[in-house]
Amino acid sequence: MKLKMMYSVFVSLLLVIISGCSEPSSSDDYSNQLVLNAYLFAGKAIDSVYVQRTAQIMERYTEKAVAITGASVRISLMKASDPMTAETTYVLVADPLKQGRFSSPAVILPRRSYSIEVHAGGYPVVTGTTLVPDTFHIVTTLPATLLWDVQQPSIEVGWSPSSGYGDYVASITSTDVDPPFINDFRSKNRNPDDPKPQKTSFFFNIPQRNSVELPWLMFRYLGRHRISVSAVDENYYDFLRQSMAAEGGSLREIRDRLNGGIGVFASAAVATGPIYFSLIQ
Amino acid sequence: MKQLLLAFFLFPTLLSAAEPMPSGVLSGFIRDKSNGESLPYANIFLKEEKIGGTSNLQGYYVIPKMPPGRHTVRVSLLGYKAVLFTLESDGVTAVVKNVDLEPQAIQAGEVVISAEQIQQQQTTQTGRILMKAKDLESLPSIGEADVFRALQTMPGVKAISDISSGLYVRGGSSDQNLILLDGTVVYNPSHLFGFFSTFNNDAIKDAELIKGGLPAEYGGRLSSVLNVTNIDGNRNEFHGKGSVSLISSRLTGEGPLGNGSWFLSGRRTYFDVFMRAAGLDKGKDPLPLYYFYDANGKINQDFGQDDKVSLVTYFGQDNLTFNPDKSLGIAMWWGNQTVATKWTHVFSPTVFSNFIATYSHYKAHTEFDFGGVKYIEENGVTDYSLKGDLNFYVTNEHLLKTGIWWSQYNISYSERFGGGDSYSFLERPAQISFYLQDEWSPSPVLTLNGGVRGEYQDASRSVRLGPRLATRYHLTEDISLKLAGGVYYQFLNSVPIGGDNGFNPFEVWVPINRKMNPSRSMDVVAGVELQPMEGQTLSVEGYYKSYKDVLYWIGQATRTTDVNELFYTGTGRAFGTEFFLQHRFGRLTGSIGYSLSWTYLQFPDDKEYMPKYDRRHDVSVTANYALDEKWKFGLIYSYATGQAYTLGVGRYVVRTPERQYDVILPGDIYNRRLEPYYRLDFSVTKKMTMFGLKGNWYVQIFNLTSHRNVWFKQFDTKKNPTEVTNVRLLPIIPTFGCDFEF
Repeated sequence: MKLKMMYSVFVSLLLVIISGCSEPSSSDDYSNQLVLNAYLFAGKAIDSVYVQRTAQIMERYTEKAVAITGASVRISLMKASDPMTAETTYVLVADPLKQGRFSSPAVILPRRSYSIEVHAGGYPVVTGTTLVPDTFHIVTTLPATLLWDVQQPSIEVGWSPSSGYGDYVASITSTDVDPPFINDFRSKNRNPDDPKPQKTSFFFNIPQRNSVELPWLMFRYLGRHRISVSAVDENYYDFLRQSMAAEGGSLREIRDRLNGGIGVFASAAVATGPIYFSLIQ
Repeated sequence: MKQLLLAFFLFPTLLSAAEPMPSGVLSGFIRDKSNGESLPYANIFLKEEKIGGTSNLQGYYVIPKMPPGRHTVRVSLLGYKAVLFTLESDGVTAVVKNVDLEPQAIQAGEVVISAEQIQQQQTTQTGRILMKAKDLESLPSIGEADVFRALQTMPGVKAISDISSGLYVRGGSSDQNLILLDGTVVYNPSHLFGFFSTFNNDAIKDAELIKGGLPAEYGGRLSSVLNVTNIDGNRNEFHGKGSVSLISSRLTGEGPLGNGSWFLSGRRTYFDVFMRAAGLDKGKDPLPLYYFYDANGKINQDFGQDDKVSLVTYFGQDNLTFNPDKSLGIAMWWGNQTVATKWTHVFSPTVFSNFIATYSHYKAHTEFDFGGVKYIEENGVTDYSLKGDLNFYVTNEHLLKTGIWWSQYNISYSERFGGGDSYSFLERPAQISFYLQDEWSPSPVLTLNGGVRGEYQDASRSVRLGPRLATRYHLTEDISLKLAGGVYYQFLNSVPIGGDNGFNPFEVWVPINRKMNPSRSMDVVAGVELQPMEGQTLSVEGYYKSYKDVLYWIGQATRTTDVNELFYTGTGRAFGTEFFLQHRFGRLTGSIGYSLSWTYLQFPDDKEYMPKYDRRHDVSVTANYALDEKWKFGLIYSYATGQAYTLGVGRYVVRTPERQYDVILPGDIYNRRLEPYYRLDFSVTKKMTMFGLKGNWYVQIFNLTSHRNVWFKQFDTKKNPTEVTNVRLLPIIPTFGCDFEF
């Protein structure tokens, strides 16, 4: 009895191991997808619409290679009384100097809905809608010059509220031509050959407030800067928080609000003001 | 609820009053003669009548009805000399007989395991692994014997990486395990970012893992139960032991106290001391300072034969500080505190009870100071629980168990960066559960264990009933068949903040809310267990498990405090077979485990996929060889199919008005495999006397072949084209140390 049982056990073992050897084959079907980066700004012309494609993972990536130049891009202002019906449609023109960029002199109206439709050969039609936040302005910037040390680590920026959505993002951009990088002064360990960061840094996630303390960390260069506070629509906010989490190679599927492609169609109202940054040595 | 609790506490009194006069009941406690420790799982057998029982976790046993006459009683437990005694029963009078068993050094050929002994060790429980502290000591490790690490060598239990002590049991994620320390639920039980578990081996008596077919007395988790029992403390004399290794030192003291015992055990790592002494925390490239400590303590007092009270506590904390310059400071700490008091009361020889009040608190604090701008994240869970369990030994054929468990949770999370917006939530759900189960042995060869567990959670207003059934049939004296199944619910889930690479000591526990259903699993487990040779046990089990309403963290920064928006809700299934051959006697002891398993999950709008912890093949071999009285060698070999990972298939640029950055386009989720995993660990132990103290020197080598397994794939978009690299795990790590007794 025991021998029979042992025999059965080992035959079973053999059979299950064999069954486990047949792994289902995996497929990683890649096909180019249309990538839309389109932003509308209240009170400004349409100049920030980019139509590109994805690149295969091992493909050398260049702006030129991924730009889709022959796309047809239309943005429609929807009726205030019926956001499903177009009041006016603008046909965007391809920028001859920057491939994949499209623009229109049409000025974006605050508190109105817009829709986008992108046709590009070989890709599904991409559509999306956005509701443009209202314009607003910066009221206070305290102090006007930030002299950084640990006792004074931030500045406070206040603004008039933008009606509609209540989500804001802020950025600080160095406006000098060739500003000194602060780490050249601060860090003993810095390798001078290391690349310097972009001139713009970003502060995210300021919902439902009309002021924010921006930390000194946002200043990467010494000298003159521009503070921008943007009231953003839901598309903008959700896309930013998802895509920032996936920045730099972290694998995370970004769920956007576009149909037919990936990317974003979003809108914002932007208020700006000056600030000066200096280090206490 | 008050009425329910009152009824429960009155229930045993009613049972005692209602039960017929004792009919020759034999009962008592079984203890270790050398130190007075209670001995669970000991067998009591009436030779002539061929009836028997097993001692419970407190060492209490009952033979409810002895027929009139003279009986030969055998009490036995592996590792102890069996005790034989005779007693006379009139079939009416209750007999109380406490038994002390003497430990026995097991040598080749010395132990004869009788069929009755084997038979009595067997329960209806499927997927059960019992590990004694001594079993853990003999396995190679990195400096510290660790119960979680040892369990990861068992079939059906998987690890996500070398640096994670998390347990992934039969297709379940690491938050689906109910982890109990002397009856107290422990949350996030890890040190060193998950490298070690919180359980100090010197404080542990044994650890029981149930991988499936959970009995009704356990609930609240979908996959498994890990029941860690602390030692009680030496009731006979003061005794101490300690250990010094490259990583940590441990010290344990125990002894008699009044009519009971005490023990206190503590350990601390000293990476920080070495680094500070070497000046590594300062200079051009300073390193962070890190240490952890923990302590366990217990006091037991007997108030007569029928009342025992114990107070048990655990606290431990990890600390990390890093201050490279005035513009950056990092301070992190996290840890657990538990306190439990237990009253064990024997209402009558056949009505045994435990009443426990527990407090369990976990808190993690992370603070980054960027030159005066602080980012602070805090995460905590506090669990206040009251539990009552009754065992009613109705007849020799029926053991009725019932219990109630009420818990109040405070679960909080907060984060704040500078003067920006903060994100926080505080949830205070309460949960109550009740179970009833009956272990019925209609014949000497057949045992059935059926029960039901009811659970209610107020935040979701969910009421759920989970039936459980297990059966065991002895085909012959050496061969038995098992079948078990049940329905399980889970109301708390954890968010793996650190991602899916097993580097997440700060898991945030969140309760379900009214918009959610509790996660549910159902399993069926079938198995056969036999003794192919003397001292060997071979078990083969197959299982199938289905999941419903399981949660998958969306994994994106969020501003919502609605728990339901943090997760996708999906379904899943897991199935597989496990083989486990154990050889427990002679110079060479060890085990061979193999599991073949499949796990699938599916969430809305996605294809069914195999999660990261799915493994097709998983083999573990453990061996201990005692060359003589002094020298011992240990070995663990592990092989497993590579982990699943998601391949990046494309890339694109996200362009905002302020900046632009690269994003990887993922392929189908987890549809690729890393290369197979294998590792060989080795240890040598030599018994010796140092400064008049008995002890051991040991050398342990983790990853003897220094094969650096792949941890995960990294996609670097700063390179053009994208560079894909393997991030690898630990190379060979030798450690040495000594332990001693006094």
